[in-house]
Amino acid sequence: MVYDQSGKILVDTRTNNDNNFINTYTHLLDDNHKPAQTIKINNNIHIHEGYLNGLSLLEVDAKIITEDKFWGTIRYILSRKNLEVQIEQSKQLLRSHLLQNLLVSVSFVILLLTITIIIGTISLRNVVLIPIAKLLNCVRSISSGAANISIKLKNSPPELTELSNAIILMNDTISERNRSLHELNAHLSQAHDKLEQRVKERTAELFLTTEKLKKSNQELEQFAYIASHDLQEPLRKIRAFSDRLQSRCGAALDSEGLDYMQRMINASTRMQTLINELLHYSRLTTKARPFQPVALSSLIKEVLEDLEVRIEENHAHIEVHDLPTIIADPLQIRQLFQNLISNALKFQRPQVEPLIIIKNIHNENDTDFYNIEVKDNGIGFEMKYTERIFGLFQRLHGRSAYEGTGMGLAICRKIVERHEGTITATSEPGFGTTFLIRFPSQQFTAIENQEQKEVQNGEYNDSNG
Amino acid sequence: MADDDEEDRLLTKEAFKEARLNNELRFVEDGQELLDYLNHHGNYSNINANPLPDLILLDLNMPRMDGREALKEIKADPDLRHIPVVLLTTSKEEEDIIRSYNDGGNSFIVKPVSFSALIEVVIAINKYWFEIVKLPR
Repeated sequence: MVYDQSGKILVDTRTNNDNNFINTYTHLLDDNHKPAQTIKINNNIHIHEGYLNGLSLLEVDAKIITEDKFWGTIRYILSRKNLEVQIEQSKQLLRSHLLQNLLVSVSFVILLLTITIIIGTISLRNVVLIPIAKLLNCVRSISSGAANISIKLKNSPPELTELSNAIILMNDTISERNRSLHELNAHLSQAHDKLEQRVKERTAELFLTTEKLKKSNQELEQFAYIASHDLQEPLRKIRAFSDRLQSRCGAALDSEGLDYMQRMINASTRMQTLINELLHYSRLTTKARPFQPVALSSLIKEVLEDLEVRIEENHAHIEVHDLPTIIADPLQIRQLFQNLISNALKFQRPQVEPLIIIKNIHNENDTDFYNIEVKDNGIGFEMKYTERIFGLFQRLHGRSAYEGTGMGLAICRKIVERHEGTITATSEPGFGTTFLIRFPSQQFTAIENQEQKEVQNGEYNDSNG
Repeated sequence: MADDDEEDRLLTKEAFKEARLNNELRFVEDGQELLDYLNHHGNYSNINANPLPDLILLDLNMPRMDGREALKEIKADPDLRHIPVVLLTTSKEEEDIIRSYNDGGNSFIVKPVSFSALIEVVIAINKYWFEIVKLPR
């Protein structure tokens, strides 16, 4: 197209492609832009191909001639790429338009989605999370001990409503149980306090009683000691002066006088022996020594050595079987067996050689105790006296039959009892006697130590008394 | 001899007589009197009339001052400690025996129960301390 300065189209040029020939017709336009005249343009086309910035160029020179008038030459420079570029450009434009459209729609969708999510979150929060939070608070307050709770849920799904109801029910149950537990606890506390009170009272009573007993025990022992000790002195005088009388003035006495004299002397001698034994008996606990392991077999062997003379004289036979080691006061245990064996020798059957058997009886059911038997074949005694023989100064025979003060077995029993054991006797007249001594296999040394302390205190009091 | 018991003093005197021993015997009744005698105080100021003994028989249990105290004092005194002291007492307490020897007592004898035994003791004391043993002059 050719325009004039004011923009009016002067030349309307149209081209139509016909292989490589370009027929150009040009129309002259009138003032109304209507084609006035058609001019055929010279087909002199110079096509130059060239490159401008990489673009293929087509240069077309067209001479404009009308009826002998030479108007001029129009040079067309066509660039292939331009077109392509233009096409590209239009494509791109279209693409970018498309992209823009896409972007817009995507943003729109995203916006929509966001809104949806926001709305969804908000409703989730309101419908589910907030009620759940309320329920959580309730459960927390239940676990921290609140008894009464109420849950108000609005607009919550039925499941949550059921849940809150269930929680309320659970809370009620828990409160109920708590209440009964508390009651029980209170009862128990009360009962416990009462019991403790009673125990305290009883313990105090017991303690008082024990103290009283201990005191009276101590007093008794002191009394026995002092009595026997102080009784010795006049006795000594009686004996001494009886002796003097006998030797100095014996000649002046007739046979009856001498007889009386002798009986007096014998009596005072017996009294002295009695007092000595009583003294000895009373000291079995005050002068007791601490416990230590005592091998019974070797201890009894020593006792037999001490009694050797008497054993030989009586043609006695003594069997000692395997004996255990016990925790005991060695001196006292020695005395125990000395007394028992002495007795067995003393109370022999006339014309029958004494046979004494000492052995340990194993008892499967009685592992807490050692059971030691001292069995003789002497005169025996009637079972109705089986307790009496252990009494103080108790004798079953007259003085003329068998000598002795009747203290031997009392001392045995006291010794055995001090060791937390027991001693019993079984017998048949004419056949012999069996003594059974039970020793605990374990001594409670704690109690012994306590006793030792008391004994030592008692000892101190004695020598000052 | 220091002993508060009149009969014990008498019996000892008799025992010496029965044993036909002519040791000179002097008697005091308690620890204080014994010390007065040994230190020539009071009634015993005359040294010639009251010579120091060659042997002291000492009872433990006496009033005023007992044998235990007297023993300590005698053995603490440089002028008196050379005199042998034989405790002659009724007590057979282990504690008394130990203490007596610890305090310097020379022997410890428990008063015998019978008179004949007393005679034997007296004879033995005499034989031991005056015949067998050498005493300082």
